[in-house]
Amino acid sequence: MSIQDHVMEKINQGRVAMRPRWQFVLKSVLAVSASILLLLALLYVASFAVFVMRQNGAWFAPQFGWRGVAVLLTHLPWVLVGIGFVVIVALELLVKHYSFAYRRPLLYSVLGIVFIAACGGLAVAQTSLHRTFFTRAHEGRLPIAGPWYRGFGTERFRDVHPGRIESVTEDGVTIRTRLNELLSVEVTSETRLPFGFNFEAGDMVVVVGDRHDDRVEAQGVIEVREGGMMMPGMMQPPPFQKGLRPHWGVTR
Amino acid sequence: MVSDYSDEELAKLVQQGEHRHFSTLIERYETKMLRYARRFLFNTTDAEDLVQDVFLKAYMNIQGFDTSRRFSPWMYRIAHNAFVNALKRKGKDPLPFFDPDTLFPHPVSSEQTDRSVNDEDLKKTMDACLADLDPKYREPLVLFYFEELAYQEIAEVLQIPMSTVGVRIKRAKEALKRLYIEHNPEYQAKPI
Repeated sequence: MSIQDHVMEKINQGRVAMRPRWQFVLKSVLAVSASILLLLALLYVASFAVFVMRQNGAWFAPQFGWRGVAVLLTHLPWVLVGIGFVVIVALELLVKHYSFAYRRPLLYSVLGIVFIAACGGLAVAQTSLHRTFFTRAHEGRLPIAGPWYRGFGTERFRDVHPGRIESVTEDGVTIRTRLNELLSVEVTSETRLPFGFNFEAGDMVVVVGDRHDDRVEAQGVIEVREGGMMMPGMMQPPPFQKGLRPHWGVTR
Repeated sequence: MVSDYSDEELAKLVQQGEHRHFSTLIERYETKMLRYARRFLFNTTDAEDLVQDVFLKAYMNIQGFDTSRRFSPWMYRIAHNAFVNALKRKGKDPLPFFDPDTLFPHPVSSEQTDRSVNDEDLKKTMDACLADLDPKYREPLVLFYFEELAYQEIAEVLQIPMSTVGVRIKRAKEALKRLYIEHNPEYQAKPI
């Protein structure tokens, strides 16, 4: 028997049947739904990364030149970047059998997704979504995601110090950090002040500079808007930092 | 007459329940699928069994075929998947999980130039050395020179960018030339 005869015999005897159309429709619907969910997850991760960087002050560092850019890059929330990467890979695998994805080099679709994530993340970060969750987490009113919000955004870095100005001194300012530490910030002629030195007590600022005990030699100081950073009263450091002696010698 | 129907029209009739028209589609594609299988897999017995499976899979999935698109690339795509799985079962994975060729854009070479230059000489060269070629490069070469599919159609079958099709065919020809010279040291290399 020829191939044609073999195949038609099986079809005529009902030994092979067509898959119903609804199965293909369902598969497409599931793929689209999963893609949308992954995209939303990516927007959430991107916007959360922006929020975290605003909280720990690294977001504002590039305003102080290349040193500030280096500070930003070294203080990126790499866990979130890693999660974002995994989501992008999952999204690419999901859409790779669709012509809009495979007709162009992979680089184009990846760049497109990254662009959408960046723009969407920035847009979502402007809303009160993460601020609301952050406040609830520190009030103990956010189940499940509470540890996630308490863990991120309260990191301490040796060279970025967000805080509120307590007083203006001859040498600079004193600031109270989110962890209720009082730091003396030394402002010199080398310090970059993008908007000048017109600080007052109560202003929210980010200071970039190396810390020695409770002194900071400011390489840059910038005021930030109240909404750009949050200071929800005294905050606890993340669990992995409790009980550890900071490497710059400050004890609590 | 049934012979006046296009492949897409026949597929639509099969979708509507007139499965006897599938016989005409088999008739039109049987020789092509066998040729494709033999040049890709180099095992005649496997080729016939596999081609039979390809047609059965095509029938089972015919409701997933969009009749506004061309039937030929869809049919070849089913065949491609079946042949690749067959190679995997033999322990030869023909395609990497991630292919760097698909990551970046490449300049698209002229399809007409590829097809017109030394066609007959090239086919003879290919017959001699195709078996030794990496399946990743062998397949687009077979689809282009023996199945005479256009770059766009090959891109649809393999689900890769069109520029990558051109790159793979170019590399396949270079590899073929090296293989042929290895097997025939007295051969005076001619441009392919």
